[in-house]
Formats: sequence, C-alpha cells, structure tokens
Amino acid sequence: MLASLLGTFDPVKNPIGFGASDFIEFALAVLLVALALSWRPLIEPFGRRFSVQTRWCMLGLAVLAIALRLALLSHHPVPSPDIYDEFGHLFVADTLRHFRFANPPHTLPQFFETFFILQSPTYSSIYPIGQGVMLAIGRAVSGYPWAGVLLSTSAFAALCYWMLRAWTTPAWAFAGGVLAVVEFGPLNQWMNSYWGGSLAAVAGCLVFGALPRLTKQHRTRDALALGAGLAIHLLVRPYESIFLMIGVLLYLIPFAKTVMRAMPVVVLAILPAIGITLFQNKSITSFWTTLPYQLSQYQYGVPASLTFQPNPVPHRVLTPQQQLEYKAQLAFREGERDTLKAFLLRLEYRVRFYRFFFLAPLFLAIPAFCFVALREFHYAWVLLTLLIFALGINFFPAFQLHYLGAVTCLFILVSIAGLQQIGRWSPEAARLILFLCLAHFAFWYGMHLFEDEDIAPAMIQYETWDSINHRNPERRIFVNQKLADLPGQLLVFVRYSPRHIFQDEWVYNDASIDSARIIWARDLGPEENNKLLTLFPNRELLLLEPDIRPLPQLTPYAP
Amino acid sequence: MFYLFRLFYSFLPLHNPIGFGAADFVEISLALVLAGGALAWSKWSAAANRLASKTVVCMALLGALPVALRLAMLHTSPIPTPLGADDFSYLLLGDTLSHFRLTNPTHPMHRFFETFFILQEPSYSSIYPLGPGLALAFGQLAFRQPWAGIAISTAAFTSLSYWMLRAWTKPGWALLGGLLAVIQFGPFSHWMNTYWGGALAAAAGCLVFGAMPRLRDHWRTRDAALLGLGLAIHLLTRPFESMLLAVSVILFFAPFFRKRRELLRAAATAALVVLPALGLMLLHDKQVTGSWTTLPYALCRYQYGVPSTFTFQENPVPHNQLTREQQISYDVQSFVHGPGTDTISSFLERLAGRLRFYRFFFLPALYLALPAFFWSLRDPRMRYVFFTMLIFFVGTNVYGYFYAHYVAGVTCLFLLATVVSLEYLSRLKIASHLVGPDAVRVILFLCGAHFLFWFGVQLASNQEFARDLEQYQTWDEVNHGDLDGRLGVNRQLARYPGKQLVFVRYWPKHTLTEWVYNSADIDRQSVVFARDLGVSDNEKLLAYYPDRTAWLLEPDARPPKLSPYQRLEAQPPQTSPKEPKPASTPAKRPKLKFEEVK
Repeated sequence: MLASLLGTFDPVKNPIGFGASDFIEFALAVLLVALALSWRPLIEPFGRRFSVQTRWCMLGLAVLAIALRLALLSHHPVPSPDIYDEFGHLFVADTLRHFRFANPPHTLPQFFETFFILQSPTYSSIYPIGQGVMLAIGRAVSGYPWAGVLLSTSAFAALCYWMLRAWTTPAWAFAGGVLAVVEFGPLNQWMNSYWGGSLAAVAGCLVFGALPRLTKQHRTRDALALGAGLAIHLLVRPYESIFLMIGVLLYLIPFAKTVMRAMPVVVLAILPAIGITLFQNKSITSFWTTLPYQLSQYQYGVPASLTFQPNPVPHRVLTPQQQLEYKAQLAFREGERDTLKAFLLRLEYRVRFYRFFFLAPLFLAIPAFCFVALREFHYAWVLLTLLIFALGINFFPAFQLHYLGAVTCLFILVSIAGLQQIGRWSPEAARLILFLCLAHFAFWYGMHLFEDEDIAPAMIQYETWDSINHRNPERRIFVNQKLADLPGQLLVFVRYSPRHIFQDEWVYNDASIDSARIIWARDLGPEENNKLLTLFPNRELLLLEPDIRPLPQLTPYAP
Repeated sequence: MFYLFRLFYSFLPLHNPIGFGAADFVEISLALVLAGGALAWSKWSAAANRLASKTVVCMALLGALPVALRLAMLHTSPIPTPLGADDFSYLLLGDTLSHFRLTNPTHPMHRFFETFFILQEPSYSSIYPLGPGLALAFGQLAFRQPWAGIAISTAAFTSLSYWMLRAWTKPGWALLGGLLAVIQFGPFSHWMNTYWGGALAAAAGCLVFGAMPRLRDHWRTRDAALLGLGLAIHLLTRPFESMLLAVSVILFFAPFFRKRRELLRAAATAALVVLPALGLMLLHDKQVTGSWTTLPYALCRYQYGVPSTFTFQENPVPHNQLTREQQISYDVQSFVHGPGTDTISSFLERLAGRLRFYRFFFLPALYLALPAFFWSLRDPRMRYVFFTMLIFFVGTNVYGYFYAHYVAGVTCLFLLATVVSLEYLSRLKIASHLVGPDAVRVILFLCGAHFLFWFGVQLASNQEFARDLEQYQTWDEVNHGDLDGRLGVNRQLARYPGKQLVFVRYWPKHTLTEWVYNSADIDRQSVVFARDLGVSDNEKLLAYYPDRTAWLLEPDARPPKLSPYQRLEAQPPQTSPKEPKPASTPAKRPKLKFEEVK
C-alpha cells in the first residue's frame, strides 16, 4: 500500500495521508533542503571557482540551455509553426536560403495572399532579416530552422553571463546566467516558437555588456561588441533600436571624451547592418528607405501604425481574412488619436507582461534593486533605460514580449543586483529566493519531463508564462502527415467555411512556389482556380477544408 | 488608473494586473516568508533564544497565540457550529455539567429524542467521559460559550507543550516546539474547531511527559502532583488510552526501581491526585448508568450496539429498539469492526492504513526531518519516546475506528520527536561544513510559510480565490459557512416569538446526519427538536408541550425546509424502527475528516 504513494491525492485515502498540496510542499522542501545542504560544501565553492572561468561558464550555460530542451523532446517535439508571424520569419529564412532578400512576384499572386507577406512588387516577408538569418542557419546546420532558435537561446544564456560579468561579481554573474537558462530556456516561449526574442536579447547582452567594459578599458574589441550588438538589434528590431541607441548614448555621455576614440569602430560594426537593411528594402520594396513593413501597412493596412500616427488605409483589395485582420489591428487602438490618458492606461495595462521577465520570487528583488539604484548611477541608468523602452514601445498599440528582447539582460541584472542587495542584509534570504527560482524551474521542468503521468496535466494549468508546445498544432500535423504520404507534386486548394477563424491561416508557401512539392492556394472558385490549374497542369489536386472538426478534411479536388 | 492594485482581480495571468497566476501568488508568498524568515532570523534569533529561557513569558505567549489567532479569524470562520454526533454529545455533557449535575433525568417523552451517542435511560446523558465536558462547561459558565473551553484547552496544550519540552530539550528548541504546536494544533486544527476535544488530552499528556523527567531528576512533590494531574485529566478524557499512558509511565520509571523510596513517595502523591478523578468517574458511572463500574459508553454499546467493540471482541448486539438512523449507524460501525474478531493480518493491515492519519501531527516539510529521529535513538530517552509512541500506535489499533484525539496524549511526544529530529539534523556536517542549520531553517520557514499562507487564505475566506484554495488545505478543519443548513434553520426559528417544537422528518434516503439534539434541560429549551413519529404519536408530544408552536423540519430538502406543522394531516411514521439491514456505505462526510480504513 505504501508503494502507491501517488495513487491518490485524497488525504484520507493516500497511504501517508498526503494531499496534492502536501506533496507540493514536500517536494519543495526536498528541493530546498537539498540545495541548502549542498550549498556550502558543493555549490558555493564550485560556483565561485567555476564562475571566474569565463569561457567555460559561457560554454556551460550555452550547452545547458540546449541540453535541457533536447531532453524534453520526447514529450515536446520540435515546435510546429502555428501563428502567422512564425510563418513570416520562416519565409524570410527560406528566402535567405536561396541567397536572396526577396523573391520574384508570382504570376498568380491572388492565390497566395496571406498575412504579413507581400505579393508585389516582390514576393517577400515583411519582417527584418535578423530572425530569418538564424532560422536559415539552423536549417543549414541541422535541417531544422528551429536549431537556429536553439542557438540564439544558448547564445543568449552564455552572453547574459558575459554581460553580467561587466556589472557584478563572477558568482552573481553566473547566477544570472543560470537564471537566464531557467527563465528564458527550455520552457520559454522564445525557445519554443519561431517569433524570436532570444536574438534581440543576444544583441542586448552585447550592447549592455560592452558599455561598462568600454568605459573602463577602452578596448577595440569592446567597441566592436557594442557595434555588433547594435547591428544585430537593428536587423532584428529596427524600431526598438532607437531606444537602444538612446540608452547607449545616455550611458556614454558622462564618458564622452574617453570613448570618442572607440566610436569609429562602433560605427564600422554597425554599417554593414545598415547596408543590409537598406539593400533588403531596395530588393523588396524597390526603395532604399521603405521598409517591407511599411509597404505592408500601405498595401494591407497592417501591422497597425504607431499610436501617434494616423491609422493606415489599405491600398489593395483584401481577402476576407485580411480584412478581418485589418479590423483587428485597428481595434488595438482606442481611437484615431492617442491621448495621454490612453497612453498611461496602456502603460499600466502592460505591467502584467513584465512577469515574463521575472519569476514570481524575483519580484522581491525589484524593490531591493530600486534601493540600490537610488545610490548608484549605473543602476539608476538601468532603470532609466528600462523606462525608455517601456515608454517607447508603448507607442505601438500591440505588445509582444520580444519587443523588450534587448533589455532582457537588464531585467536579469535587476534581479541579480536586487538579490545581491538582499544578500547584504541577509545572505540566506537572497539564497532562499534563488533556491525558490531553481525549485520553480525544477518543479515545472520535472512536470514536462514526466508528462505522461496523470499528475502533470492536472498541474500544468497552474504553470504561468511558460510556453512550451505541449502538443504541436494537431490539425496542421495531421494534414501535413496526410500530404507527406501522397507521392508527387501537390496543389492544395484551401477552402474556408463562412465561420472560419481568420487568424487560422493555411496558405503559406515556400520562397520558391513553383518548385515546392506542395503548393497551398486559396480557393477562389472554379473559374479562377482553373487559371492555377493551367499553370500547374501536372500536380495532383486536393481540396483542404480546415474548418471541419475535429480534424480538417482533405479530399481530391474536382475542377 | 489604480487598476494595478487590484492584485487578486483574476488569477489568469493575462487578466491579472501584474500578470500573476495562482501559482505565482503562492510562490511570491513563499518567497516573502522564506526571505522574511531569513532576515528575521539573522536579526532576532539571539533575542528569541533569550526569550526561550523565560518559562512563564513563553508559556503565556504560547497560550495566548492560538487563541488570538483563532479570534482574529472569527469574522470569516465564526465560533464552530456543532456538526457531528460526537459534537452534540459532548455539548450535552458540557451542558449537563454546567447545571452542576453528572446526568439528567430521563424525559417522559424520550422516544422523541432518540439520537446518537446519547442515553435516554436510565438517565438522559451523553455517553462520553467527563473531561471534555468539563472544559465545555467551564467555557459555558465562564464565558457563556462552550467553545471557549475548547479554546482554553488549546491554549493550555500549546503552553504546556513548551513546558513539557523544556524537560527534554534546550529552551530554544522547546520554544520552537511550542510554536509548532500553535501552527499544527492551533487555529486551523480539527481539535480547535470542533467540540470533540483532543487538546485537553494533549494537555494532559504534556503534564505527564513533562513531569516525568523533572521528577526523575529532582523527585519533587510538585512534579509528582503534576504527573498525577496529567494522569487524572487523561483518565477523565480518554479512559482506554489512559491504560497505555499508565504503561508508558511505568516504563519510564522502571529503570529507577532501586530508588524505591522516592518512587513510592512520588507514586503516592500522584495517586492522591488521581484518586479524585477516579472517584468522579465512578460517581459519573453510577449517576448515569446506575452502576459504579459500568461506563455510559459501555451501556450505550449494550443498548444501541454502538460505539463498536474492540477488534478482539465480537460485534455488540443492540438491546434497544433502534430508530432507522441508529440502525444505519450500528450497521456502519459493525461493518468497520468487521465480522468476528481480528486476525494478525487484519490487525497489521489496519495498522499500516493508519500511518496516513499521523499526517495530522506532522506538517509535510517535517517529514524530511523525521528520519533524523532515528539517529537520536542512541539516546535511551529517545528510545523510550519511540517505544511510547509505538505503544499508542499499536494500542489504539485494537479499536476499529481511529481519530487523532485517540493518541492526543502523546501529541507532545510527536512534537518532541520533531524538535529532536530537527536538532539532530542541525548538527549535520558535509565535507566539514556545518550545513544542518541551513536545512533546519529551510524546513522551519516552510512550516511557517504553510501556516501563514493558510492563515492569509482564512482571513480572506470571503474571497472567491480563498474558497477555491480551501480544497487543497489538508488535515486542517476550520468551519466555513453553514454546511448542513443548521444555522439557517436556527436563524429562521429565532425569528419567531415564544417557544418552538420542531418535528424532524427525514426523507427515505436519509442516512446519518442527525438533527434531533437537545440540551440537558429539554423542557426549558426555547426550541425542542423531536423525531417525527407520525400523527398519533406526535399528538402526545404536542399535548405535552401545549404552549409551543409546532414546526416540521425536512432536513433532506436543499436547503432544509421548515414549515408549520399540520396537526391534522395524516402522516405515516417516518422513523419507526426497522429490521437490521446489511452494512451500507457510510454517508459522505462534509469535509475532510478522519475516516476508518479497512
């Protein structure tokens, strides 16, 4: 009977009288006591010795992030893209894989209209190339674009430690690196989707890690790192690069005389990125200074404009789904013009999203950090930079966590410096908060590792802000599997029902449509469809009705 | 604006103003307590150690703490409403004693008042021993509230647990044990939130186990008297387990048999204190049952077949005509007892099943420290503690049911085992690093966090989230709301002027929840609850109470339905005695309770 300890969580039936909360308490006690017991003899001395070995630490953290995620593969396979932003970035990668920035427009683009992809003057994604480059590298290295996401995350974990080394002691920097793995590693949305986030965070690490080094040591390599960070960020998040730049300038102003010599190196490092951005603009939009994103706003009215700008007006005929997306994006804004009140309300509303950057116990470190920031200039600057980002991105009506990707390392710095301050008051208190973060991670990681158990699905509803693909989009996998079983080249007409959920888009194609084995096309009616049939006379024709439940219906298409 | 401060607006992270889900709130609360505990420890541990050696102050503090904490919860968890049969029986006992008598005369219409664990003949009395009743009577007389007696018993126990531990361990650990007693057996405990007792027997245990080491060291009369007092209180509270306690006392002094003179003197003093209790007990037997040596409990078993016998005895046979509900109760108790007598296998199986109930005495985090108790067994004193716990563990297993208060006498030993385990754990070194204190602090902080978390939830129990969380609160038992609808019925009745007579009519599927409970002086009650025995019989009671307004209560309706009693209506009797039926499943209890395991 005692063997069936987890047989029931009803205390009066459980062999040792434990209910669910008792098991959680006990598990927590085990973890915390194990950490407490091993802290002095093992963790602390090892951590102190290891944390000064920069390269080994960086390598260790980078490997840790990947290894932990790969260990979950049996329950959480390589993520399948599901949201149109993901398809947009994958499309960039596919385009880059063909060694070009844009693809020629298709002769029948009306069949391939989808979200966030331009059809003319070129067939291109609207996104900047940064995330796409990583996905392309991932695909080139392993056959999976997701490998690029893994590499970004591991680079972020490693560079976060490197960045923190410039701000704090090696031991605390290492703790910060571990926090980066715990918070932004295997269970995190950034590592389990194709939207990005980690790459902007990598750029941020380079920038914020280089700044203190540059002002102290004036080394060319630090200037280069700063420039590289700014360059990468420009290629990933052009708009937020403005705030990053403001942050950098604010930091450097007091050191203007001493760092001036390094500026040419910084500029030299940024120039190629600017060049690439301009060239991409030219390739896609035909104009050096028109971003694909802007052209999409002009053509499709999406993405929404900044809140101080007028609402965009589409200049193309939109599909019903695009029309709904346009309306949805308009709805992000409360009115035509932003008011101070609306701006502040939005700012207040977005406070909730910052939970993503701090595990719940780390919220205790924030007040301690503010206490330190009142006394030390460089920490006050950190707060100011975070404020600039918060205010800056508040001009965009929608919010995604990766908008703040660049300052992720500053959030970790806030946690670490806050803990360090708590540690000055009571080392044990700081240690316990850190232990709780590790226990938090170990608990949820364990839940995902043993997800077959009945207990895990019941618990996972309480897991907040993590976003690991529990089950990949079943319906897409089902359809892809069916298509994979069919030989030869296929042309799939996608027919939506009148009650179709507009975001659930299925028409996503490769960069080179004509040579793709599977072509996805909108069903525009028999007469219009015939044009496509003429263009692809040798393809097997299929009709996909994705709105049929429980699983989409795939049938031969009869012209 | 300021929406940001509506922290508990929602537990869906995207709806919560700071993005917190339920688990996040739990984590940050925990972090707050752990970090706060560590900060407080570093600042105040020296002061706490100094305080720990001030016996009177600590006892006063530990006595006041559970009462103050429980009173602070009154706005959300009011004075407990009696629910189970045991509750009402103990309250009857308390009420009887508050009338300065040991029993009540049989009511001329006693057929209408048949209920559980209450004798109607030869006198109208509870079947339980006097101890818990004395506490309730004290509460009734001193504060006009029987529950005050429960609160005072709890205060006495938490206070005495520190006193007891002072005789076994260092002051700091003793204070810690006292605080654990407050956490575990204080405001959330079943013992403090029902009328069943538990704390009084635990207080008696503290006196016994606290006095013995002192007596052994100094052979003072005071300690012998306290030992006697502990035994006396325990005898009046849990007579059967008192045998186990007596064996434990003998075992403790067995190694000192050469100090015959001191032993005899101490035994005489203790006996002098126990004797009045023994006398009181005999007198109680005589008054209630008519026989000096027949316990009311034993008479109840003879008349109603319940409570069930020991497992080495055959099932009892009722000699009274049982009501339908009494019959169900008898069937259930017989089922729990099982046919025939115990075998070794069934005995051991039951013993293993009872391990679960010991969770009541240990918070989950403490399970991690308990293995360290086995290190302490090199100390003969701890071996004694271990064997005493074993005696109670095995000794109470000869009864088919188990409730935590059966082993209440050794609660202080569980506390002792806990603090000794923690003390041993605190000495742990790994690679010449003293790591034990860190681990012990973590465990203690977690216990503190456990308590503070649930205390916070209790304080906020009118909030939706608090109600949702309560399902995860194990082994605690605080009264919320009006589970059976009794408060609603009582409130309804209180609105009417004059005296009331309520006929209780159960529906055919009614099981064990009894509503016919009355106080010691039935005729003078403002509301009399009576069984509905059908029109013609009921008329007799109506004639007996001509000045009372008659009501019909149907407690099986949801909510219970109270309507004016129609005197002329032809109603078949609902509660006539029935033939014994095969054992049926016990009714589902309202909340977590101690259930028997077969």
